[in-house]
Amino acid sequence: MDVHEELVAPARWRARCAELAAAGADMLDFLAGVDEPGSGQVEVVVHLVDVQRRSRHLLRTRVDRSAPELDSLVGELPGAAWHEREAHEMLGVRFLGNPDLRPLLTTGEMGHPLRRTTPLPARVGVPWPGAFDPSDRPPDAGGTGARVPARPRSRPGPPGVPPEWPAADPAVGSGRAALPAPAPERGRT
Amino acid sequence: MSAHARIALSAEACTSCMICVRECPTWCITLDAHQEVVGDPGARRPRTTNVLDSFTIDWGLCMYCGICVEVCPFDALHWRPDAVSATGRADGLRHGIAQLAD
Repeated sequence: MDVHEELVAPARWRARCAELAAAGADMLDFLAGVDEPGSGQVEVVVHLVDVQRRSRHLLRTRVDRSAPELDSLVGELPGAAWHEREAHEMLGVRFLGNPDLRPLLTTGEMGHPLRRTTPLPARVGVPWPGAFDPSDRPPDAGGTGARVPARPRSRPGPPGVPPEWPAADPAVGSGRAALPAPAPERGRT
Repeated sequence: MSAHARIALSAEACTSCMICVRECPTWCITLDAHQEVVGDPGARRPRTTNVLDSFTIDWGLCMYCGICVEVCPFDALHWRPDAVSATGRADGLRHGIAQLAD
């Protein structure tokens, strides 16, 4: 199927979607958003399908990240209500005219989970296992008293976790940290 | 192609290099190790080797992506075809060296 991509100004968002829907692309596949902290914007994407002509339309717009607002598509495409509700919860985009933007999953205290700056409890609440380095331990010198001098090295961080997120606190977050540790295996192998 | 049902560890091939632990997207692998001096104890710079103490995969977190198998430089991790068995406790999904051996 042909894909027609276009970027529209937020003011044209609803009108352009209404045009496409009236022209036959009236099947809403999805509406989603992408947080872009680098540009200070949130990109909102809607995918409309014209089933008769077998063509697809990817319509994008960009709204200011600090106060993202966009006209709701509920009037033209009632199925957009759920997707807008999700985008509002996950990215904080307010859809003006959507009558029901209640959160679907979150209770509100963690912010918008798909904002890249929102710390995820599952990452903040658990220490990264990769921080451990066997050479941090004083070596067992086998009775010779020999010590290996510690070498300074750059410490890697967990991939995908922004460095500005708070450090792991075992008291916070998921129940994973509370799981009992497995039995020590030293000497078993 | 063999079945990708679970991941097994050859503990004798593992050098505790931590690459699998650091690459795992779900943080499901933990390992503990210490260093031991090997070779001539009178050498000016003692040579050390890592000794693996424990290696745990939490199958409740693992998404079976196989990145750890791919990145292991010593082929200490590999796929095996039998599935992880069910358990009545969450920590029953945390398998150590003995259960990960094949």
